Amino acid sequence: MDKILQINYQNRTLQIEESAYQAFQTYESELKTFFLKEEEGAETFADLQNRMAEILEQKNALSTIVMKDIDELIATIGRPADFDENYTAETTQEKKAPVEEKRKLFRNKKDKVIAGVCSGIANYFAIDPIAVRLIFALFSICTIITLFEFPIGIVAYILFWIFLKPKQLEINVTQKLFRNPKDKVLGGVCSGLAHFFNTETWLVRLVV
Amino acid sequence: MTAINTDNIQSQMKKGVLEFCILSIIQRGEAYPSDIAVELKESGMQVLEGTLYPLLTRLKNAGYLEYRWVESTTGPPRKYFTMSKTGKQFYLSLESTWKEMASAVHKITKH
Repeated sequence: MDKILQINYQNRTLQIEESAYQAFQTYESELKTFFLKEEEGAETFADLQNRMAEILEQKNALSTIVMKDIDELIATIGRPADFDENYTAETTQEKKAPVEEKRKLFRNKKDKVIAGVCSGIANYFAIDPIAVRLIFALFSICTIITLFEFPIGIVAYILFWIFLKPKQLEINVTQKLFRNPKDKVLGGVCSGLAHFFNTETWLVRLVV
Repeated sequence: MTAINTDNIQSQMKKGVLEFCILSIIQRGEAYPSDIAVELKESGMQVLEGTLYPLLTRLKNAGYLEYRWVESTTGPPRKYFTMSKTGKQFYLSLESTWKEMASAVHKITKH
């Protein structure tokens, strides 16, 4: 029978044989190394320390804690090598991941000139809002020119304004529309358009 | 050609069901981790407390469980877990998945 120690563990006072205490300390640091590998592990380790204190106190209620008690404690909690390694942090997080929302058409509250209609449409198609605005502008000019006989642009815009719900949308642009100052005949418009539509510059110039 | 890792298959199977069983127990009422471990063991599903505690923490961090501290005169304070609303929804979806699967497997394997 070896030396009996009086220790304080997790605010509990315990009487424990020296060899048993050494074995316990070794086991505790095994657990600590294992759990502190992950961020979430700190909380788990604290919970387990608490649980071990409870077990030790129960054992101590009968008599001084001996090696056999530590063996039983280890059997209850387990050795890190035996834990189900499948329970990695990803497991539960996967389930928490929200279902992808179906791609919806909104007006863009964040980036708006009038009502964010063009921006919203642009966002949905992943293009530069400028492109959409231009189209609406062109249609609106048509409207005015034809003296409101073909009010496509303005009516369409108003309809979109009514029916699309506003939402804060992030900039979602893959295709930007610019004038190309580098390759220009007049104002670099055709060149910029060509780049946007991924066609040849001369083709656009021809159309215009 | 890779050999089939049978340990992995068994633990994969167990993994899906264990969370469901744990939530089943908590769904009935507030539960203390070591009591959950005892009930699982008595029903024939062995789980080390070292596996159970981190799993409970993850379920709690995912928002499916809540806990409260209960003081004790004979030991350190204890964390008792209860199920949240989202936890209940998650549990119900696990339950229906389990029922479908168990029924299918039963039909297939009984011949």
